[in-house]
Amino acid sequence: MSHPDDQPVQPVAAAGSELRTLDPRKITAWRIELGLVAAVILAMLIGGAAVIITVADRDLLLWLGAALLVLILIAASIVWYAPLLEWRFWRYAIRENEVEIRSGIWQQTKALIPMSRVQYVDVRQDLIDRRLGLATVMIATAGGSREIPGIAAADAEPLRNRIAALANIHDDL
Amino acid sequence: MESTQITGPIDIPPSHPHPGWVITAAIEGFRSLVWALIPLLFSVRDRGGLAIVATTAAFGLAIVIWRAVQWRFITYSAENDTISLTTGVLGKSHKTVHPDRVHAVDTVEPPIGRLLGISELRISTAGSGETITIPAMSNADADQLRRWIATKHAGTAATGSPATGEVAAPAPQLICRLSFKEVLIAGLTSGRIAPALAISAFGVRVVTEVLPQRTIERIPFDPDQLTPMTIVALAGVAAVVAWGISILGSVITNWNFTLERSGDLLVVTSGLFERQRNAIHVQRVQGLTIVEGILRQPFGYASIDIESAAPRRGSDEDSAQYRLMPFLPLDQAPRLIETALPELRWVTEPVTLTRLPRRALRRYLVPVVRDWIILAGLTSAILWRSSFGQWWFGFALLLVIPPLLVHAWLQYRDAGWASESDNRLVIRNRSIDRRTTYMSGKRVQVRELSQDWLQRRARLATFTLTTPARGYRAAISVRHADRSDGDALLDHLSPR
Repeated sequence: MSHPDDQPVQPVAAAGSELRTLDPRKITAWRIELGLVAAVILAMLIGGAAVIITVADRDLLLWLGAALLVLILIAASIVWYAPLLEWRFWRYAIRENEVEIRSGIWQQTKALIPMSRVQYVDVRQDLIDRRLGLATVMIATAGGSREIPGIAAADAEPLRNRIAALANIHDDL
Repeated sequence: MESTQITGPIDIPPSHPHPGWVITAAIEGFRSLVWALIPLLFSVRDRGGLAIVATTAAFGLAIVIWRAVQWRFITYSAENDTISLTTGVLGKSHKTVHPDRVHAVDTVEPPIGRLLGISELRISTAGSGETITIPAMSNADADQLRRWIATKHAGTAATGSPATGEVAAPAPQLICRLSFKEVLIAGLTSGRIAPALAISAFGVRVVTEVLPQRTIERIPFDPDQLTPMTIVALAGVAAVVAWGISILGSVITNWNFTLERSGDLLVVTSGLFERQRNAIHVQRVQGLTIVEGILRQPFGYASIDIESAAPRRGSDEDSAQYRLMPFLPLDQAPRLIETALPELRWVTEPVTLTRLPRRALRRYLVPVVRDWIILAGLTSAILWRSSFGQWWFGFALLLVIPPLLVHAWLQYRDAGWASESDNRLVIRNRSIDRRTTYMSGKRVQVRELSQDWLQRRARLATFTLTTPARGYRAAISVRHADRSDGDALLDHLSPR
C-alpha cells in the first residue's frame, strides 16, 4: 500500500468552491418526514382528547374541538413551510482545504470541516430518500460528523469520492 | 514500592486469570441480580417470601458455576511480541496487541479484589481505541506483565521508534499527595449534587418500602397540608443530604490520591475501596483544562484535567480525559504543571484573552429575566385556577432571578479566548464551573459559528470548536462573541 501523501490531490472543479443549494426534492422529503411526526403527535392528542370526551360536558367539548382545529392548522402550516425555509437557508461548498456547511432558519450555523480532519465519507439513503432519488453524504471527523442531505442520488457517489480524494482517504482493500 | 530494575523480558505463557476472579465476578453478577430483585422482593413481602429467597439462592449458585466455567475459558499470554487474551465459552473472542501499540496500562483494584490481593489490568491500545482487560491478576503477575510491556517499549525506543508506554524509568518522583484534610475540602467543594440527589431519592424509596406501614403513618406528614414552604424545606433537606453523599463520594474516590512522574509517565493513583492506577504517557497529553468549580473558585481552589491521545496515526480517534489533579489551590497550578508536565510549560505563561463586547452582556442577562418572569406568571396562573396554595406563590420564583443574573454576568465576564501564532489555543468559558482549556489549535476538528436573529441584530455570534474525544462529543463553545472576532478565530484556526 502506498502512503497517502504519495497520491496527488485531484484538482477541484472551479464550480465546487461556490456555495450550492440542495436538490429541491429534499423539500418534499422533509415535508413527508415532518408530516409523519406531526401525524403521530396529533393522533396521540386526539387519543387523549377522546378519553377526556367521555367525562367532559358540552362546553369543554367545544373548547377541545376548537383547540384541536387550531393545532391541526398550525401543524399543517409548519409541515408545509418549515422545509421550504430550511431548504432556502441550506448551502454547502466543497473547497480544496475544507467543507463549508450553512444551515438553520432561526439559528443560522456555518460549519467548517478541514479536509485534513475528515476520517471517512459515507453515502446514506433512507426509505424516503430512495423513493425520491436522493442521498445524504456524511462526513465524519474525530469530533463528530456532519451531513449534507438532499444530494441527487447520481451525484452522491462522485461527491463522496471527491471529498475522499481531497481528504486523502483511500479505500484499503 | 515496585522494583524499577529491569532484568529483561520474561515471557508469560498462556495462563488463566487469578482464581479469585470467580468470586469477584460472581459477586458482581449477583449484585446486579439483587438490584433487579429488590422491587420484586418488596412487592411480595407478605406472601411467597421463602420462594423468592430460594430463587435468589438458586440464581446465586448458578452465577458461581457459570463464572467458574467462564474462568476456565479466559487465557492471557505475553510472548513473541504479542499480548493476547482469549475469552468466551460459546462465542470465542481473541484479542491480540503488539506492545508497541499500547497506549496506557491502568490498574483497578476492586474492594474485594484488594482483600484477595488481585487487580484488573486495562491495556488501552492506540488507533482502534480498543482495551484489553485482563480481569484478575495477582499483583505480582500484574507487575510482571507491566514490566514485560515496559521492557518491550524500551527495546523499541532503543531501535529508534518513539517509546510508547512504560519505559525503564528512573525512580518515580512524587509530585503531589492529597492529605485527608485536602480530600475533605475537595469533597465539600465538589458541588456534584445531582448524582447524589438521585442516590438519596432512591434511598428514600427503599426506606419507605422497608419500613413497616405503621411507622410510616406515625411520621407527621399530611399531603393535604403540603404548602410551597414545606416543599422548599424538604428540598433544602434533600440538598443537605445530597451534599453529604457527594462529600462521601469524593472522599472515597480521592482517598490517598497521589500524582507521580516516572520517566515519561504520569502515574495517578487513588481510591479508598477501589484503587485505580492510571499511567499516562506525557507525549500523549494533548491538552489541559483548569476547572474552577463554582464552590471552589471563591476560595481559590481548582482541579486539572488532561486530555490524552494515542500516538502516531491514531492520534485523533483515540483520546480520553483524565483528572490529573482533583483538587489544588489555583496559585499552585503553575508550579505543579512545571514539575509534572514541563512539556506543557507554555500553559503557565500569561496570555491576553479576547473578551466579549459590552453589548453581549444584554444577551446574557435578558433571557434570564424574560424566561423566569414568564415562568412565574404561568405558575401563578395555574395556582390561581387550582386550590393548591395562594396564587402569588408563583412569584416566589422571581427570587431566583438575582442569583441567576449574577451567574449570567459571571459567564459574560469569564468568556474569552486567545489563538496564538504557534497554534496555541486558550479558551475560557463557564457553564457552571469556569474552565480554561489549553490545547493545540491543530486538535480542532469542526469549527462552527452560529447566529440567531437577535445575535444578528447585535452583530454577535456563538462559536463552537469540536475536539476529538472518546465516548462523547467534546465541544468548546463561547456564546455572544463579536461576529468579526469569531470569524477571525475561525479563520486563524483554518489549516494552511
